[in-house]
Amino acid sequence: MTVKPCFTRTMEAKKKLVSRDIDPVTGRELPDSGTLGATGFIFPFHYTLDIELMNFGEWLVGIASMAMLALCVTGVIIHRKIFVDFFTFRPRTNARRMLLDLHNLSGVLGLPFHIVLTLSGLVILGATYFPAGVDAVYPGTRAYFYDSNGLSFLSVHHGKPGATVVSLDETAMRVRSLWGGVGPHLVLVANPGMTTSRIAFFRRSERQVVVDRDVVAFDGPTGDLLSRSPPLSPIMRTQRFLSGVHLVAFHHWVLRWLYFVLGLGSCVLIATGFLFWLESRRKQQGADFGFRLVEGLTAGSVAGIILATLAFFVANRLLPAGPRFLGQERAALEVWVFYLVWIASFAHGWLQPRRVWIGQSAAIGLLAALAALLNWITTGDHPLRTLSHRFLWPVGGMDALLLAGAALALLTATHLSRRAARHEAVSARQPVAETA
Amino acid sequence: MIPALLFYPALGILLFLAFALLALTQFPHRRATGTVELPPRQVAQARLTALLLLVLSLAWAIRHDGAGFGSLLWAALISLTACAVALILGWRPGLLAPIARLMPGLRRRLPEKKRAGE
Repeated sequence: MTVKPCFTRTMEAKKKLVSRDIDPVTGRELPDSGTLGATGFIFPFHYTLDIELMNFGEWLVGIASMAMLALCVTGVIIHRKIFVDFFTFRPRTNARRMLLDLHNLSGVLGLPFHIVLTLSGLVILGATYFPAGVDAVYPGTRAYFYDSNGLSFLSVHHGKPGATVVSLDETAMRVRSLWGGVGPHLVLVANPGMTTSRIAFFRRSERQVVVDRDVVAFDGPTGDLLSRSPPLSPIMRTQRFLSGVHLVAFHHWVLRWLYFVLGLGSCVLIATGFLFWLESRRKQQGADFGFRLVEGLTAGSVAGIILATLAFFVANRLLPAGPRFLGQERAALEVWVFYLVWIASFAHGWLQPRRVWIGQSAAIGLLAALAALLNWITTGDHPLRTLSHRFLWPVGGMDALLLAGAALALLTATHLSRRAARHEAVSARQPVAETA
Repeated sequence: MIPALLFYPALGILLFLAFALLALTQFPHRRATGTVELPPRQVAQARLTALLLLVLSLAWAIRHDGAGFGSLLWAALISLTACAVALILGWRPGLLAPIARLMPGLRRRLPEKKRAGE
């Protein structure tokens, strides 16, 4: 049986979950990578904001998502000439008009994407926002989690050591026949070597949108079939379809790229919304506290989050390898770099509102190029290597995107800088002309 | 079954054509492409054709990729192709002029009507 690289998770102390990477060929424990990476930080950050206290982060994201849904609907209603302006984009008119056109375009034409992604995110975290249904049926959230994910077989005592273990190949064959030839994508062994050990197989579901977590569990010592996830009810199937739409765990490269481009469209929607709000009020309310506050928030939310993510990448390459550095956990230091840069970007927006876009665009350009360059130097995965090996194409793709982003950001910085210089020259000439 | 490398661009082109037809029934976009306004009947015909193309492309996507992937693919592509039409009309409307001129019976009928009016 072929085993893919995997990790084991063991319980250390009472609640702390510890992950260890195992080499699938030698079975040796691999050294700690010293990073949370995208899976450990960026992915959970997008729905918890890294705030675990009483699920406060999830609630904040939920409130923002509800606001987004309301905006999607009200935005369409308030747009009085939605069909007349459906394809309207006037790049050669004044900047404010163009911003509004871009905002309308990305909002109206990307509406299916905005609504489905926001709604499916709320559905995934439905048990957090509407716990009454879960509370009525299950004794606790743990029981709900185990039952809804087909993990009830895990609720066993630790057992006694020295028990025999049934053949993994044999159980895998039985699972394949149950699934009509489809193989597992994950094998979970709980309480290994104990009398209560369990072997569970998770069905592959990357060829479909629905997240079908069919789990078949066997008793470790005897090989008896213990449990199998029940067939999905229509409601659960809908929930799993929406989860699949949101999680994009499927293998469909065209759709994944379309998601990426549509995601960029959502960024355009948010950025143009902020900028249009500012430009419409700059003349009348430019000196007001509220205006200045939003100005800084815009910088941090539009350019700052990109800067912070790039700083996270750069820190990942610059910090020395190993689990700890300067007495601190290396992974925690990377996260600190992310937050510090993000906070600095907000402060920059508040302190230097006139130069913020030039400065932050230039910083994005430099950091993105640096992240790609540092990756080539520290890993040896330069473009020649990544392009010539199929398994390194994702790395090459990421580097290419970083470089394209760097070029775009530097061009933007140059353009904005020239425009600011022109404006300064014009305003310097004006008093002279007035005096003459 | 059409190979993936041909199917996805073909589906995109079909949807792009549908949105181009819809956009080119509107007067500001016809003016931008340098073509004259369509009479109401031609507008209705063009919009019906566009609607048919949209429905056909959905059916084709579902047939090729299944209900789940097909519907998602269609939904994602309608956003992108509609956006592409809008951006082209904004920056290079001349690129859509050939489609505008090809819209059924436009060039022959309008001058006739004008002549009749004169």
